[in-house]
Amino acid sequence: MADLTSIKAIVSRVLIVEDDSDEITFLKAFLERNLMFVDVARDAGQARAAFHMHPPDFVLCDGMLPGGVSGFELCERMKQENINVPIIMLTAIDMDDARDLAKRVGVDDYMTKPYDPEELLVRMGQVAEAVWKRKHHGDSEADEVKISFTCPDCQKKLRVKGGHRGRTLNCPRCGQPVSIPFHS
Amino acid sequence: MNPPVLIVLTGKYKGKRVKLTDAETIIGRDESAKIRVATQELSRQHCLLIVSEAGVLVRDLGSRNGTFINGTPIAEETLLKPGDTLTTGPMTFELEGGESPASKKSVASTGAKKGKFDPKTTDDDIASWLTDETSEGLSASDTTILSGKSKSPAAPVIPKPPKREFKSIAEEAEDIIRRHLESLK
Repeated sequence: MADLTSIKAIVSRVLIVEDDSDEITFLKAFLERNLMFVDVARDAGQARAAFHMHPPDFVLCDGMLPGGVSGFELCERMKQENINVPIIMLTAIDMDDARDLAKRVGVDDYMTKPYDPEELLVRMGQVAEAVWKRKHHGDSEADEVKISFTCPDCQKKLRVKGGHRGRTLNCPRCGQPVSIPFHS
Repeated sequence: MNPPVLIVLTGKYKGKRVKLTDAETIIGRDESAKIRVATQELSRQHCLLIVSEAGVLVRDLGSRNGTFINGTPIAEETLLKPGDTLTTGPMTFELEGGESPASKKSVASTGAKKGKFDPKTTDDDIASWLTDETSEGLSASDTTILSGKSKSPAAPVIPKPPKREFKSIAEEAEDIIRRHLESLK
């Protein structure tokens, strides 16, 4: 059995964003057995409402969602709303491009289906702890990392400290607001 | 000796490789099953795979809908040889190490076609599989959850196209999802 000390201490409310009923049933029962309260959203709209109204301690998000907004966009918006809520993307998409995109939108960990539920629990604990430490002890490591990106309006090359990831700045050349990505 | 590998031929996990690292592996919808398929078409403990030197022995555990090897239901413990297909409910697996897709007979029971991925194969092989007909509509509940440490390695099913420039996350995500769905056909 995995050591659940850290996850029990940090995570009590989990938001599952998933449209597959069987997957929801299994995952919900599994997390509840591990003493977590579970909210379920079946698309990005429901997820954003739940995220805003009942802020979760953890999000498990599918990559492909119905309704035209993908899990990737959803994760980006949730991270912009609150960077301190850990997110694991649980998806059937087993592609390097998908992993790379998930990382860029701020997803903290990426697991492909089918997955080992016990491993999921362990990784949830690791991610929750890392995000908790980043929130409470500051992300000194992040400030040493520089994020390079370009303004989508004027294409000016910008470079900021990693600690600013997820925030918005005004481009010094064109003045347009630019979201700082999570990775270069 | 490398552990035997089952390749998922059907459903959204088509192309996934499942290593049989334990001496015995149960397929079923029960949580205790090492290869869990969340569908009512499977019994809780559907069949047992026993890894032996001769290959993988398959024993039906009194399942309601039966266990099939190469489309034939098995009544007793049967040896699954490399290249043979194993069908339980909506899921069809193939034991790795069989003949090439062109010379392999088709799987009758589910209409499943080849979705085999082997890192050593050439792009031409992969392209020929992608032109195969798609499998018949499978149950939407063919979710498989594997217990234990038998996770398949991260491996793209289709060759990477040249890098594209995307205007937004939405556009990039749409492209990734489209390519993923195409790889399942």
